[in-house]
Amino acid sequence: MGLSKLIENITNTLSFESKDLKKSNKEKSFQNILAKLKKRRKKVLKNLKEKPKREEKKELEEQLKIIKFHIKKTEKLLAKME
Amino acid sequence: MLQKILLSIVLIVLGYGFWMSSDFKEISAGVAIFLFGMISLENGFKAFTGGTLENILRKSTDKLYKSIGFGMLATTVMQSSSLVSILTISFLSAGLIGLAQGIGIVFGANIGTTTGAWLVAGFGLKVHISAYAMPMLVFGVIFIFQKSKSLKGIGYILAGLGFLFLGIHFMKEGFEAFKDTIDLAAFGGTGIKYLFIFTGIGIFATVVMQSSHATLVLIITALAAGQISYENALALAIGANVGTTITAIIGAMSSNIVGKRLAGAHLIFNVVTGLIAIVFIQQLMISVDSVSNFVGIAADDYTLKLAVFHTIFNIIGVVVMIPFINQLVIFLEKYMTLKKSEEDETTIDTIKYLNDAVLEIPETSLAVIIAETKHMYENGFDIITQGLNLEKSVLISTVPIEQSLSSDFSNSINIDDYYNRKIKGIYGDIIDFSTKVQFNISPEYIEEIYTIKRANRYLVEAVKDTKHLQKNIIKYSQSTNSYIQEEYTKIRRNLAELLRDINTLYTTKEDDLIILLISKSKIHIEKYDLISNGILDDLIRNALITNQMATSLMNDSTYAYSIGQNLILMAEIIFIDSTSDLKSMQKESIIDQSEVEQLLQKDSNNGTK
Repeated sequence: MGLSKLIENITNTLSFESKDLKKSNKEKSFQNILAKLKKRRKKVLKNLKEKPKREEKKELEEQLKIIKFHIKKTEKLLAKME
Repeated sequence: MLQKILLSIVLIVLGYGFWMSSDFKEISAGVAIFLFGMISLENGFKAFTGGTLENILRKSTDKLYKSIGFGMLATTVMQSSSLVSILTISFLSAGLIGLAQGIGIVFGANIGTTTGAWLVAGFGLKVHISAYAMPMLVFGVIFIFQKSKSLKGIGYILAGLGFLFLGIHFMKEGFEAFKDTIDLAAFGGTGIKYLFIFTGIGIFATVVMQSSHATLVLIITALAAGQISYENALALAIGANVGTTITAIIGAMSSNIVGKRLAGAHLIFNVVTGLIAIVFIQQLMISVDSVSNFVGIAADDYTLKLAVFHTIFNIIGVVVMIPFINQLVIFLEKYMTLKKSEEDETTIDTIKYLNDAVLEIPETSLAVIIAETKHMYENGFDIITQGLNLEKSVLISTVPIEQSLSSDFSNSINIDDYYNRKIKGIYGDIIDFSTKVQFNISPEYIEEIYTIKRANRYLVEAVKDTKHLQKNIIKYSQSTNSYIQEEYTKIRRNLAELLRDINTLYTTKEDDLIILLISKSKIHIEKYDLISNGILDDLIRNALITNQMATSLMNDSTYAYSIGQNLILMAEIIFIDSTSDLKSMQKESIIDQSEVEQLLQKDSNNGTK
């Protein structure tokens, strides 16, 4: 194998590895965020169970709706990655 | 209450004085015109803040020797140290220069004013500044009516100077009656007692005539006529030097605290210099004789020797005071203080983080630009909050948002002024620094720099939109039409909620909370957009508001929407930590416009079910 071919092979391998590394890092980030979102959903649900005042309840419901939307979205993105 | 009583007393005394004495009327009118000139002058200089004049002044006064030179030159040309002091107070009040620079100019003016003594003593010349008042007023008013901001500024400066000259002229005319009653020979004598008496007379005469030059003419005439001794004349000159500060003190009455501090510095300088001259009068006289002898002034030419004395004692005063300038600034800032809100109205904010030393280190450069943008955001947040009459302490707490809506509109801020002092300079420096950074970094960072520059622009736009919104907020929040009042209160309440969320975004590092708040804010501004949610149509259809109100509401709703949108866009770029999980997946995770609409649609479907 010529020297140039050898260098090309090494570069390609490193490039694949770097892409893989990036992908796995991103996946990890998504998973971290998903876990945090789920934790927040739990917190909001708990607050809702404590019979908040009307205004506060409205605010919590709005938050819950947004969190649910993002959990769904992040799960979809993770599924795509796999 | 006390102020009201005091005002009533002043008005009664003035009324009585006008009735009793026409001279008093003339003097009072002179003071009033003079103060009006000061206000006009300040307005004129404010039109040039952040631009050419600031650069010229900054460059001419950035070193102590330069500011002293500037003061000397200006006073030599204008032949009035009082006027130069007044102009310096205007520069200070408009935020064009700092206190230390102002003090430098005043020191220089004290040396410059001695050229007057030379002119009076040597050539009998006197430049009559009041002769320029009328043309200045005419040209000034013509320029004030022009559309261009610069021409308007020049107009205000000219009119201001015209009124100043005119005011001094009226004061002098009014005091003319007193002038004849001053018979200096009646006080003649020698010794320390007479030194103080003549210094006092010098102060009084200058306060009365509003000109140390006029006092000098009086002294020289009396000296030539043999009414007073040479020593008495020197004491009078010392007094004239102290008395001349009265003009600056009157001028500072209408200015802000920095102007008052400068007048304080002027007074301290002239009193200290006067005391030095009194204490060392014998030594000074010997020095005057030596210098006069050296330059060839005849031993009995007391008028020219008076000019030499005037010059020497002012130069000594400057030399003695120069090492204490910083202490003087500290002293004045410590003892001439103001409330926090007043402080906010005068200070100019400058960059905190940008530093050319990091230009070649891309990561650090980016970090300092972001830090500086956050600094500018803090100022922007304050301006928007105050511009909308919201209580910041409530916004940054968990207290119900309703309590942030202040109903007192009497102290509304001037957003243009705040923008010039707290945003414009920093924004300009950020753009300048970012452009320099672009030449030193690899292409991968350039895109990031552009994005940060965009974030800066969003913030500036948000502040400018607040300025447009402010006028009608003040007007309609106090309207008797409850419908329009309610809509403007809603605009403020919604923006208050948004500002609270933006502030949380600024302080938090929790990724999930950032995602939640950005989404919430984006939904919020769409949901409460008056134009798209149909409320405005209802108000117009049912004739609950006038056409003019409807137009205002429509425009202001657009401004409110724009403030929200710009702040969110800025927050997305600046407030997400570059090392966080969220930064690497920001594009995918942050909600986009179509998703906002999707969520809103769901909402309205649920509402109709």
